[in-house]
Amino acid sequence: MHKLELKKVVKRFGEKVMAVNNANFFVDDGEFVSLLGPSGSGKTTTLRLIAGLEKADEGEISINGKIVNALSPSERDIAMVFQSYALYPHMSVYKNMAIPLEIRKVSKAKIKQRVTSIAEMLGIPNLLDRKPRELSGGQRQRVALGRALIREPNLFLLDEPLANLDAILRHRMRGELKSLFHHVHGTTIYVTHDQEEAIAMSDRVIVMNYGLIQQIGAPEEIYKRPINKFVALFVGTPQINIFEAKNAKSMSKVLSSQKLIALEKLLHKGKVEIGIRPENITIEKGPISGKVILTEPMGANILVSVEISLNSERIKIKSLVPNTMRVSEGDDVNLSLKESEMLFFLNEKRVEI
Amino acid sequence: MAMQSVNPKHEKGYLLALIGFVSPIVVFFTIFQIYPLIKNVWFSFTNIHNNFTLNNFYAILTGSSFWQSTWITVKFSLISVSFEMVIGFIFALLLNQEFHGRKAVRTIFLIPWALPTAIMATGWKFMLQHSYGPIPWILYWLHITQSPPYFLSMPKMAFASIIMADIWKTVPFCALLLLAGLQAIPRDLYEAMEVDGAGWFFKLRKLTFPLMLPAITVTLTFRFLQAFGVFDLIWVLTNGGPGNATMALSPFIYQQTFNWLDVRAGAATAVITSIYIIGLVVVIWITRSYVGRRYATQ
Amino acid sequence: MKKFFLYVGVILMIFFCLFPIYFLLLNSFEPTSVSYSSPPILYPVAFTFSNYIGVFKDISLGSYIVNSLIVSLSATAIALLIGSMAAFAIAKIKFKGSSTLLNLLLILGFFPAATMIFPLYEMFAKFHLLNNYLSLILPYTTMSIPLTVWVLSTYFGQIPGELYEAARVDGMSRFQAFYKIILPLGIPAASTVAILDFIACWNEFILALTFMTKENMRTITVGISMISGRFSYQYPWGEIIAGALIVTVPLVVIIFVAQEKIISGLTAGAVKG
Repeated sequence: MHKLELKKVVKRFGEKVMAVNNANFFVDDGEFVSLLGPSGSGKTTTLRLIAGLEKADEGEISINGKIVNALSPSERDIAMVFQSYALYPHMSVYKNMAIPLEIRKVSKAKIKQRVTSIAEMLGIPNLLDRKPRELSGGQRQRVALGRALIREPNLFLLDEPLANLDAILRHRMRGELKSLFHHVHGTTIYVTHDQEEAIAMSDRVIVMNYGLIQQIGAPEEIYKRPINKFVALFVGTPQINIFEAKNAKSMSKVLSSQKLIALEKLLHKGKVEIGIRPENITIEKGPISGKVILTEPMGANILVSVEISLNSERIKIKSLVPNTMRVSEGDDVNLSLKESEMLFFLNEKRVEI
Repeated sequence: MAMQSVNPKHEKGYLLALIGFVSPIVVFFTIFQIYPLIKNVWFSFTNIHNNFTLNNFYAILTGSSFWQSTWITVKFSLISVSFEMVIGFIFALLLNQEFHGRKAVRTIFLIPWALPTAIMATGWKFMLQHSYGPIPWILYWLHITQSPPYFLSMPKMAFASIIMADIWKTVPFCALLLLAGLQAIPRDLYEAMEVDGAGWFFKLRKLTFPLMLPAITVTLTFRFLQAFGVFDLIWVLTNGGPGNATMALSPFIYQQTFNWLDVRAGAATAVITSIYIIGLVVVIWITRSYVGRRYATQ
Repeated sequence: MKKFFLYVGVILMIFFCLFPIYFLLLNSFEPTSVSYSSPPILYPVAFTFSNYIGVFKDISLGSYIVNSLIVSLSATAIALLIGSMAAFAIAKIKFKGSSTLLNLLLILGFFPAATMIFPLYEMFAKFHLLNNYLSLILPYTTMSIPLTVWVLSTYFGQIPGELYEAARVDGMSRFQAFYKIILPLGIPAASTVAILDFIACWNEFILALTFMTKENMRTITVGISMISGRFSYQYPWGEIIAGALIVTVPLVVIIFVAQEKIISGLTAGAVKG
């Protein structure tokens, strides 16, 4: 039995907009699963469907094997952290965290003990008397987490909880969040538009776009074997290089003869594109000559944009090289593309060749 | 050389500009609002020979009419405003739900508010007529009363009449003000509480009501001060009668001044009424700053 | 089930707001014989326009409406003009005591008209302004100022300060910056205030009752509520009601055209607290 399962779930807004289109997935006990996608992809709607804040138009949502479509949010026994944190502005931090227990008529002494221990865990025991308006963004976020962690719900639903934090804090909280939810052995569904976050934190990632689930898989799988061009482009920074293979001849410098034959066959079926991540391209020696047009230092690495010509067509390709390399704009370089890491897309879908 | 100040107050023409922009309203207020208030104080402390006297105050404070008027005003304000706040709050909660034609209902709510009080009082006077007015008869037909009641000729019923008409006119206004307060509460707070397992009553008690307190105090303030000065409604609907059963302070001042031509008694009543208003403003001010401190959200 | 109770509630609310309007409409179209029947008949049985024709023939309703329009429009216009200037000074020039001024305006606005009516009466009598439009235009303007200044100063305050500063840096005088930059941007708020001011003036009663003693100078609120006095034998209820409904029509039209503006103006203060 899965902790959470969605079967053919559909949510429409109005007549035309398919916010969630035929969502099928499950989450197992103790898993940390991300819903990843650009804004408008339906990830937040999916989360709200699970919470019961939206009603599904079709399909089944079950928690612990029990269909919950007809249950209100309060009957589903879930905890949720909102993007805005949704802290009650008129209540102290203590009160904010105590509310879920107060609703369940837990005794005062128990509440006190629980709030204190959670506050301890989150490192905010000194803030309990403050009002939300007196807290910084990071502190508010901890209170929102505390309110979710205060009880042991079926599911933790997190809606972009890091989106409103500044960059440094966001990076630090990633690791903290992951170990926190691991520590309480909570089943967690995490909505984010930040692919780095999803890759870094999750056991599995569900990539969505236009209301459709694109791919479900472990982070490495999503990164290394994206199911289509959208996932390939969406996941990974710096972004993957993708260029069209118009004919086999133009690719003769790029591909081995074996692959060229396979490409020839593919070209009959439709539009073929080749993708390769910048870290799989070296610029020291190789069969393809080009000119450096831009260098972007990125700390340990340098992102080098090189203009090459394949047949008669000029294309721009990016390579990630260690910062020990000396390269500057205007240099003539020779590229080598690691063939084993190349991805082939036929009509935007990835194919093995 | 001395540093040039950047304070705009030292900028050329600052004072002149300020006077130019603000003086028109100050002039209007001085002549048509502050002067009359001060002139009334003068009237109230003098006799017809312009000599200082406390007799005007002595006369009204020892008579019963003034105290009766005060009591009627207080009673009217308290009762009508309480009803209006409670009904207005319920209406606001209903209007805050989603239903077909919500916008149309909001528009309908503006009708009682926009109607001139004197005109709507005229309408109510017709509806409350004993022999042919619909309201007494509906009450009778519904077996709420044993016979069609005489609304405007019995003291208690006349008082009930002005309360009823005032409720009709002002409930929609209160509801719209409170609705604005309700809509200012972020939706995700409700969602957070629902997810945490709260039922509707818990949400009302722990979320809606405390977060509405600022809007409630504002509405209450406006309504109470407005009700305290009630004139049009009473003058048209009951003319203060029967007897003096509905003679609130404003109509009482008017009656003294223009019907009995006792300008100085009217002035003394007006001065004490003004003191009441100032007292109310002070009380409200203190309450609001307390509420503001306790329940401020931002 | 929840929906059911909601719609019952909604119907009750609509009934609450409209039942008096129904009775009035009903009786305005009934001949006197029907509206005077006892017990009353609560549904239409006859239909006549005679009340509506009568109210223009027997009573000078036309001149009441003209009087009301003149005083209300003039007062609204003056209040907007001088109120927007003061609001601009409060929002953008900034001076010591501006918040005191705002609060003072608000508190003075709470004093019932009855507490200052006689000194005004005496003043207008002295300057021979009774039964003159000015005797209403001037106090109505004063009465409209607090709301005007409050709403407009809040609105002007929300216009980015950089706009005003840029205008000054570009070489405009304060007055030019006001009427070329800030005022055009304030038109939405100004129209809201204008509607609210107009309705308040149109509905005013006690001052109009006192300062306009000649029958042909009355405004509509006084005119309609005083009709009763002219017929000692019997109240001409049908005509009174018809008159009441006629003067309600422009207000209802304003409501339907500008309901969003009215609600936003009414509630401007309530949310901020």
